[in-house]
Amino acid sequence: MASSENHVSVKMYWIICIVLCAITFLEWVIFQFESIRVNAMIMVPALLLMSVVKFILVCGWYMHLKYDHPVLKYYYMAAFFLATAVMMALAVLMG
Amino acid sequence: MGHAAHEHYTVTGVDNRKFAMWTLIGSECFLFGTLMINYILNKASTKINDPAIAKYLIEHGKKPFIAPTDVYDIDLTTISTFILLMSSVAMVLALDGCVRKNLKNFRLWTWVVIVFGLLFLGCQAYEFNHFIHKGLTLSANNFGASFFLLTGCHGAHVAVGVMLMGSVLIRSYLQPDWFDSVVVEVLGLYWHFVDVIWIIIFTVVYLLVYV
Repeated sequence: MASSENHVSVKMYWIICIVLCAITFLEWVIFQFESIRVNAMIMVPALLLMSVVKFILVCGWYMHLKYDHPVLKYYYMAAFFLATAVMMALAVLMG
Repeated sequence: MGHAAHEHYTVTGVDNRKFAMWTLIGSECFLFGTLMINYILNKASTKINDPAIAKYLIEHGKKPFIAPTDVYDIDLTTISTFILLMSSVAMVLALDGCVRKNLKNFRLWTWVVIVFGLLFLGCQAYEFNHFIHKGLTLSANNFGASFFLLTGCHGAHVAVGVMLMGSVLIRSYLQPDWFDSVVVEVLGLYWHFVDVIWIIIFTVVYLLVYV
């Protein structure tokens, strides 16, 4: 049975932390420019992409999904996509 | 590397405690997903329902509407986000300390997680207080109701996480030879999930309303 072995080095954890902080800082920086902030064509994809990257880094490395048993990855992805489908259904029904 | 104290046979080959936490995380996706959709659908509903708040706003020369852009302080929210991100790295370092059976590191980084979690909650409390003083309450309008429900629920999850980390820290003082890394990893999963939810909330709730 799998035990809590540490597949990720401490150095990698800090590198990911720096990347996460850098992305957050970038989000704050682009928010400061009103001309960019009100431009949906730039802001929406940029912010969503940055969120997705942060999500993948935390789930993959901090939550060890990248290194753990594959059943956990598929289990979580199934729940995540099902929840997303419920959200979309609600948006259509109530929106 | 360390092994779990009691190894049991499982069909999946994964510790049952880890599987249970991932099941909880999966269910939490539904909870926060629906709260988020509720917010998205109601954030434009800014007309004040509460007559007392509406009267107060009119008396002060303002219209009886409170929108997200009237109250949000993105600088403070960005700082909260940094705090939670730093608590996440402290969590993985605490787990690393537990796996390596380094009691000093384990305790140190667990303390850091707790302190940063409390700092985050402090920022939330300050923000909520600021909003209430501006007239945005749970009953002010649908935007207020959906905002406080979503972020309040997230804050409650952070508070529970802080208490769980506290219990682990207390155990490390009462039983210095306790190094069940599966338990710490499971708590770490909970903490990181709370962080992931905030990452999504920061973008969807705070930043995208300005677009």
